[in-house]
Amino acid sequence: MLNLIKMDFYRMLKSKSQYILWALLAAMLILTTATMREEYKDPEASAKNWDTVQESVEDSAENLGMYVTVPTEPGQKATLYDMFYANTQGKVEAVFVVIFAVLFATADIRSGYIKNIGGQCKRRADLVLSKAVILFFYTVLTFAVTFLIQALSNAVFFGYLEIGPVSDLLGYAAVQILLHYALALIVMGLSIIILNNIISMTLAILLCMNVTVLF
Amino acid sequence: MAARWIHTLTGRTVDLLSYTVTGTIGMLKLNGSPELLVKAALVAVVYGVVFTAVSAIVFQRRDIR
Repeated sequence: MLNLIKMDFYRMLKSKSQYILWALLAAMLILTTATMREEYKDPEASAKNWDTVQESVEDSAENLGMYVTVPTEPGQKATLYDMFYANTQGKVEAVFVVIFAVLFATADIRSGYIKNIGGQCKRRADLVLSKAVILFFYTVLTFAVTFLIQALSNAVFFGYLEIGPVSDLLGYAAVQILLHYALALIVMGLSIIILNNIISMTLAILLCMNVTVLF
Repeated sequence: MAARWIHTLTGRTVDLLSYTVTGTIGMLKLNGSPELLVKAALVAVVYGVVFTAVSAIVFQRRDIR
């Protein structure tokens, strides 16, 4: 099992898609922070956003699609916690986690490499468990990248870096990492069962767009 | 839709979205209560365990092609 995890970890480090997805995530975070800065600087838009956040905080999950809104109270400093919350609630990170989950879970099956390693394992289910462990590493690393880029973006676009309540931020981030990891495992399961990348990826992105509100 | 069916059949109002992973990601509040965080973590653990187990069983039983 440990050897399988080592093999999959090496595969993760060598996969170009991981680095491409992180680069795209960084670009997306910079773009959303730049957009949020414009809204934050405009008092009217900022007040409107604050009202929207206050009204929809109970049922924000019932919206179909993706949106990122500044959750900062007008007049207060925009913190790292605020911006991280806005992007995470808008499922910016979730999209990149699920795309990688589909690509990584089916890479060995699609390439035929599974024929080489499948016969060498006592239990083939271990291959899935090893992928699950690697997806946890990927999710944690993705959130580390998010924090780094978000902190840099805050410093550049707002001219200061205010973290916000650290204990609240840590608790929120830990639970969001767990939820994103669970989403990655759901998508891994779907792609292993369906064995079609296009259908799996479409389903994964629809999940990120809250398609469950339709059911 | 499913929530409406449950309401019609049992007369109870159930918020199904708070029991889905994507719904919970969007529902967690800024400076939310610890109870909500624990509930969200439980949702994540349940979905994670169920989907990993199902995919492991399917992969174990399926022929390699």
